[in-house]
Amino acid sequence: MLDLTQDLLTTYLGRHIKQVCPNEFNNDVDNHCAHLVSHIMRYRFGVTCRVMGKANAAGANIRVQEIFPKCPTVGAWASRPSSVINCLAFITNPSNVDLAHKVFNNVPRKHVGIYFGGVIWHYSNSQHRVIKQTPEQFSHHYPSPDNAMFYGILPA
Amino acid sequence: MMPTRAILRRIAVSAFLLLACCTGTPTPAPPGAVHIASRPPSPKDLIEAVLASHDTTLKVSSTCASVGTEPTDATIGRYLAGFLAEMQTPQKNNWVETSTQVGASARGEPVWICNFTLRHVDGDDRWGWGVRFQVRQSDGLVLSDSFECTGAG
Repeated sequence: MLDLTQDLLTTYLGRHIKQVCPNEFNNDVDNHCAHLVSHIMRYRFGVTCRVMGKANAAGANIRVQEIFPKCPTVGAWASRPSSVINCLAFITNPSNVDLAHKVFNNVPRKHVGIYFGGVIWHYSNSQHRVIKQTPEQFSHHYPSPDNAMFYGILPA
Repeated sequence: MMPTRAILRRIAVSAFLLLACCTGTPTPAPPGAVHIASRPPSPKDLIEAVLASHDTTLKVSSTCASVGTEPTDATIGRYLAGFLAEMQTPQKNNWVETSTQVGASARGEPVWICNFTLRHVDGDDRWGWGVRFQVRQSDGLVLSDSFECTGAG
């Protein structure tokens, strides 16, 4: 099992997806939020960069809607238990998420990062690099009403 | 017990498939099959093939599971329509991307591997969702079971 640490996450800070993905799925006009999370967390399930890019190495999942249902528990960010100090952070329009059935629609404006150490580590598709932001800063990733935040306990 | 006519039909079908396999004859196109207008396919031919394949089920590939913008989306046409509907803002960057490369089908036939992607870029709101499919070079048949759904995010 991955030992997620501040040091590990810090090694990714500032990196372009080219420096993360060995399968050369690194087009700047693609959305790499789930892709980055999956490389860090080693999520190999579902559709991966190995399928979409070149099959050079083990692939990492590339889709938010496939990661979300793998989380053992999901909920609105505001209802996140205080004991949950590491988790995934999602943002989208609330109408795109069905918490009861753990469904996240494949809509354009959706994003995911890793909440660890009080900040969210994620891939900025506009800056083309890994950044970290406070949850408050992350909540402005999309304008309202596409900025409802959700948490997901890290899939194993 | 199987009726004689059914047995004869099964033998005939088996013999045809065996012949097709061993002589390299392409499998005949099923009714309603889509053929591209010219070979190799131009971007226009490729897009026409996608439009003509709109009723292909999303069950065609595991890559198409949950790609619809709504959970009820069941076909390639409905899936792509969901993203096309997001491209209505004229001040944003929206475009269609096509590409073709040569390859081989699962049966070893020479094919063109076609990619069709709908793209949108507006700051952090960026995506490229589409399909990849194969066109048989010998007769321009769109291999309906070759459809995959492409995209990330």
